[in-house]
Amino acid sequence: MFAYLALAGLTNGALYALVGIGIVLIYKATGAINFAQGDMLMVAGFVAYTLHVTLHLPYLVALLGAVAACFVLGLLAERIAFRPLANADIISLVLATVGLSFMLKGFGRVVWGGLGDYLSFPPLVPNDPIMFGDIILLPQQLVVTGGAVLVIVVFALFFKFTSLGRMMQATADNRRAARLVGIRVDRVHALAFAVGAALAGAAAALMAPITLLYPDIGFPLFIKGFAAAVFGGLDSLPGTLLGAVAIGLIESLAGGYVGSGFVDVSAFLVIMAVLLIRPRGLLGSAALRRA
Amino acid sequence: MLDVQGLEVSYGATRVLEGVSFSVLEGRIVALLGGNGSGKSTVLNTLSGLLRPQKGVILLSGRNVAGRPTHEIVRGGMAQVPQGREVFASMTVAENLDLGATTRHDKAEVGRDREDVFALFPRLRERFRRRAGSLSGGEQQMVAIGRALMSHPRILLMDEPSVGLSPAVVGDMIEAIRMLHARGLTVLLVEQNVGVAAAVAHEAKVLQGGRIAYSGPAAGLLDNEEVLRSYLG
Amino acid sequence: MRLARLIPFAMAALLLAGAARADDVPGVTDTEIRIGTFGPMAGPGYLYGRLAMNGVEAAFAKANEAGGVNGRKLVLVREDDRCEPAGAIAAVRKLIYDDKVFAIDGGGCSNAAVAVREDVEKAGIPWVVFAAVHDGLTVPVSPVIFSPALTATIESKAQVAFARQQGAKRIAIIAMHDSWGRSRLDPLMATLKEKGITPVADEEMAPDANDATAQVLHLKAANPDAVIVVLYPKPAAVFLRDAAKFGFKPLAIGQSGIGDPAAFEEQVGVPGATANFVTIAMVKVTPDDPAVASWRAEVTRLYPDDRLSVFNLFGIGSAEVLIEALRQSGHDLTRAKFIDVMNHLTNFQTDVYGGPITCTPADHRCNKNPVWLKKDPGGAIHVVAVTPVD
Repeated sequence: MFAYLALAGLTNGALYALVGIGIVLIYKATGAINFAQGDMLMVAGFVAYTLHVTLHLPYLVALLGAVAACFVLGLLAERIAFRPLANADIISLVLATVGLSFMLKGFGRVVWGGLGDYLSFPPLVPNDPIMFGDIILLPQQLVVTGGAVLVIVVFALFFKFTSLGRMMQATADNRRAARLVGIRVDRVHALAFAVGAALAGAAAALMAPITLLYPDIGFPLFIKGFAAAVFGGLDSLPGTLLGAVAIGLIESLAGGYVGSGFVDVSAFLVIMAVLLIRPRGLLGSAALRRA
Repeated sequence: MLDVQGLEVSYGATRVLEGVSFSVLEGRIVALLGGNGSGKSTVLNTLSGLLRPQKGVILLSGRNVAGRPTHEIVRGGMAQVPQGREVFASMTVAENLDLGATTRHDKAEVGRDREDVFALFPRLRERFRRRAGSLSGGEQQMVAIGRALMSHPRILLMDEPSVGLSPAVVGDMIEAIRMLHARGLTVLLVEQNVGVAAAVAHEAKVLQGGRIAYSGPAAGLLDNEEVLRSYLG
Repeated sequence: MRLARLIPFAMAALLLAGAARADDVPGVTDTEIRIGTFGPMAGPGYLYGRLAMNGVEAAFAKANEAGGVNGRKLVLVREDDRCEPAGAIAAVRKLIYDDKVFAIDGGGCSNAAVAVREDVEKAGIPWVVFAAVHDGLTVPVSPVIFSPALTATIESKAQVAFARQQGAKRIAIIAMHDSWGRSRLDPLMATLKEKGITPVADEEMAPDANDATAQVLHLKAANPDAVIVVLYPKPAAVFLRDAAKFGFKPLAIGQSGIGDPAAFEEQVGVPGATANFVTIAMVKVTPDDPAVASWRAEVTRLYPDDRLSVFNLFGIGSAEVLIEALRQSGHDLTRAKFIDVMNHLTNFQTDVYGGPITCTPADHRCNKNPVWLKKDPGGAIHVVAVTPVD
């Protein structure tokens, strides 16, 4: 039983990580929490659906289309909900992205709300359960988990080894110093939103066959991803990954050993306990602050 | 090298600079002095493009850069070492230095320039894989200076480099500024510490009430009781 | 409490007296009768809103083409309730006081619909429920609300009855514990208790869950003959997907919340995982049934982009009931007369419901014939049984 539960927890953790690292990426570069991250994911999922299911384009095209659409959406989001308020207080920033979240949800409902209650996205691989010894897996869950790991590795490398990644980190670290060395901070912020949203695009195209698509999917995904990010320290990609896997495991094990009524609350109880003892999260560099 | 004429800057309704004019000749070390709130940092931030002046001209090598964005000014050859050693704390010394070269096109040269910085501050070579935030105050100041040098400036703006450093480290800092000068750099040094300014600068300007109230040689500053009393408290 | 329950009756009586005198009945002119409808027009619940409304519209169009009802054309006024109680209250007030409709044929989401009961009763406006199943709409009986849709209790009783008919001795439950889930779980538990059945497992799932491994392992260990599924389509799909993973394929008994077995098979996405799944429909016909060919033509004529769906049929059935009652009310139409006709509607056969519609003054749950639908993997949807509930 433990092995099954742990495996399920890891798979779910991969989903949470895909959402969480987008939040962390934007936070690291801009100091803002993008409350619309889940809704960007929703839009991306529907874009992929339109390309793949409605227009019968190959999956890879749909994935890239969702990534591209979200990149543009991220640029727009930065223009509308972040740049005008970059120097405003944190509350205004939060409200702006919350507002964006509602706008996107409304948009999703109007454009895709009439296609079905929960749209199913065809699995990328034949979905007959496969056995590895005693362990039973659905191929689609393997694809999502593998895809999540790949995406996370790519983004970690991006941050560490590209000059844009380093500029984002520098801007997050010290916005004033970043300007003084000649980094165009506005542009970095816009790109951070765009890249963070593009990540949501990739995530959505990966997870849609598992989560199904509906206009209200954004918030529940956001809250789990955000929890993973906070748990991990909010500014640490490895921490977020760790936090996401931890939440997935806690939920699954609590559901299995305590009772299925504890799935949703268990993770948050543990997070609260951890944050009480260690306010900076598992791997965070500092207590939560406005960068 | 740098020619500032009639600079006026306000924060909202409060005018901080009311027509500041001065020039820094090539190869000179000029100290800009003044009490708290006299507008010294405002001058530097306006020169660096962090603030937009309402009026005035900033000629950098003959080109007016007033109100231009920071990255253009850095590329034009004027870099700032900010006050309080604002390094990228979570990044390594090497990454900090490389970020200093953001505006340059000749990225191939960056490795060699890093070597130059290490020649100037050998301590950084030993620490170049360390996170900048974990270094001592003096070492962080070196990182901040080295980072500014990576942009190939011809004039370096230094905002109170001695603040928060122990007297021994301040001595090292004065030595470093002399070395930079010896390598042909022009320096505009904002200081509150008259001792540091007198020790290193050729000329001194004293800012008071949003204007330049005194301009003269820096060497005699400590003996000039009138300047000390009336402007610097 | 007892007195409070009498108030609506007293008000209906007053209304009866008042309406008899009044010449101008709200929403009724010489040439038309305005009927209001409300429900979600977008979002996941739109199936129970917009699609049902489209069905009502199709029924109205058909009646109008045949000359209308007692010489008057039917006009439908739509309001969006966003599937929320607050939205429903606003929508219904608008229908009553701004649009001044004669009656309402609507109510898609249970929790939104039950929130407007008080407003509807206060206004004394007759309401024929087209999709919402909340017990609170019809119990205790409301003088003005009539439901040809099923109710949570009727569905729960049918779920238990169906399980027993199939020979299930060990019955387990998997349910959402939100307000929607509770509104079905409570009557379900009551029914089980009544029959002396103790569930062998009682698992919970969140509406947005993406994993049901823990639940499946618990259920599998309890070794049930049947699992009663009180879930929305999404968690239900996740549940059956994970169940298939562990080779756990008990008889899974759904309810009208999972109304489209074809869409559900796709949502589950694992071949064969839905082989033992049955669900409740309010209607006995599937959209491709030859019996509803004329309705199929009518819906495609009005909505060229749509094909007839089960949810259109909900609207069609409720509208057939409404139209029949209007017809029997005669030319001198009043709300009181309409309510009186509804109270005595007996054995009315519609084209869609599982059995005849009968309302009595004491019981406004007019449809007691849940229909069981099943889709063989890769095959067509067919009606398995109708389980009359008393």
